[in-house]
Amino acid sequence: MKENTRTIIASVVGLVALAVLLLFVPRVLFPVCGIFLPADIAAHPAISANQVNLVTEAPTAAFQTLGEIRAEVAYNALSDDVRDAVISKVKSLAANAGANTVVVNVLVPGQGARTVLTFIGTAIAA
Amino acid sequence: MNIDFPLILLSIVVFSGVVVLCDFVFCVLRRESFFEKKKRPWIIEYSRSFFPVLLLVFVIRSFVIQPYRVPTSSLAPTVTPGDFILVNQYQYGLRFPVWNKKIWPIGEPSHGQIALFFYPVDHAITFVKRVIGVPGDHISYINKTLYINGEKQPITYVGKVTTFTDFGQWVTYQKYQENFMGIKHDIYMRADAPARDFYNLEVPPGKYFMMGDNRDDSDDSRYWGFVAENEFIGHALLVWMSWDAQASHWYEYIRWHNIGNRL
Repeated sequence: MKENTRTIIASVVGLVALAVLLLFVPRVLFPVCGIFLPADIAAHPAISANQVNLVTEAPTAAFQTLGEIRAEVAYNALSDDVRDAVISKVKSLAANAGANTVVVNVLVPGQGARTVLTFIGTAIAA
Repeated sequence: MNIDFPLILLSIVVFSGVVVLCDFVFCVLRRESFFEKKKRPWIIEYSRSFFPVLLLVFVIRSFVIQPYRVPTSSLAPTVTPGDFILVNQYQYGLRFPVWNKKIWPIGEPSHGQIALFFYPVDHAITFVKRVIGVPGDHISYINKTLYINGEKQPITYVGKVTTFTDFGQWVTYQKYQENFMGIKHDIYMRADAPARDFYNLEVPPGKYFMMGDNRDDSDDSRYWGFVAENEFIGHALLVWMSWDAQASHWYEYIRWHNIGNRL
């Protein structure tokens, strides 16, 4: 009887400790990651992200290519929120680089085991 | 929550440790000897047996050294798929696993080192790449040649190599030797892949720029950006086993020539 009590108490305290541990384990977050790869040495003054437009075709008028923007985000379920988060990150990267337009080259969900939405675009000053 | 091996190991260590602690308290209250040899309930018996071993494994794996199997060829030819590498867990600071919180700063990643880190996009995935840029660096990649702070990192042509890609296709790479900040190592390039130049990319404070040695077949910082200092796991030291799953004969499964390669 005493041994049973000892086992039950030890097991319950162990499970409570395990539950507390799991409670404090950090949640998996999927941040939007990206980078602006400059196409030339000269730096351009930053602008507001609100001034950045995303287009699917390069403008017919003259423009200057400032660089390439690439971004990725992992997701459990592909939704408009995921896509909006990528676009927001892309606009932020473009604005910091001084680009008022981003030509979308690739915006595709990953294939296979990795569920990642990938963006590749060209940052331009139109 | 990311249910991976460190979390499972820590969970078992915590559970068995608490059971052993409770048993110790019972022994003290009943004035029994904790080390007396007698038959105990199985959960206490197993916890007493396994806790010290699991704790030792947890401490060594978390704070000293851990093995890692390389799944892709992004670091080829330095590290090939199927290589098992040993990773120094304390060189970039002692970090408590699961939370990856630094508890003791020891060192920082430096140029040319091969480092293990969490894929910034999804921390459930571990990547291994070479440190190309450290905070404050200005990196250019022009015609497939790296420039760090304006200094060219020379490459020398070695020859052609035809090998399997991760997707099971035969590909012919051009093999070069790169002298990267004084560290000589081989890299692969594909003649059919565009250069994708960039100029004067500044590495922000607390961030690092990582690239694979398989320059045209590597998913690295050029695609998802910089790696934060708190995303690093450890410094890859050497290859301790190399397993070629695509070998055509049983006696070729182990790549003996790779074993012991220092990274």
